[in-house]
Amino acid sequence: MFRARVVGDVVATHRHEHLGQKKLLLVRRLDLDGAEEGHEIIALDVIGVGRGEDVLIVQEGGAARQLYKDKKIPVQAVIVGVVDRFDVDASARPPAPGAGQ
Amino acid sequence: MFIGKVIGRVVSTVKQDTLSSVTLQWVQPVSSSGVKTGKPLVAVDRIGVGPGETIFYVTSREAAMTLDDPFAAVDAGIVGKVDCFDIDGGRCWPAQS
Repeated sequence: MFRARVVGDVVATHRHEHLGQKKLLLVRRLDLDGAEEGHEIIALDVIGVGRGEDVLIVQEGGAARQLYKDKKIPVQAVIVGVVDRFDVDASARPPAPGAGQ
Repeated sequence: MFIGKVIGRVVSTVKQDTLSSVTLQWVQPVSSSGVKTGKPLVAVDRIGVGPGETIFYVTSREAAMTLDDPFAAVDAGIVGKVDCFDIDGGRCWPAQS
């Protein structure tokens, strides 16, 4: 799983039959400092989140099939939680440039 | 799932059995603003999309699940066509084409 931010909604009427009318959200992964990094991905949402929220994403097809109880749902990313806060040990962060010398 | 843009169609007559009568599309991975995010790939198309359209696709095992045969020898499959992205809560920005 990883932490990501919901950056938008995806409007798509023509879609695979097994996706149904499930809501699609555009999300971007966050780094330890909360900055968006990497490319956008499209995720389904089982809890009901909104734009701008920091969420927990499981990116695994098997998990999606379990969540939706559908063996044929072609989905790879699902939003499974809202991140209220998180703590990172200082030693896990890369040293700031020029610091600690 | 990932965003992509259909840039062409792949024609192949001699194919492995699980790929018979399956449409293959060239897909360029892009961001919501249409910027390229990787190298083009070939994806199976079960839903029917056309060149220039922005789509989203799945990879790995889920790609085969877009087809009737869940054991088809494919690694990317188109699952939907993007009409627009609602980024700022107001206007729905059309997918770049």
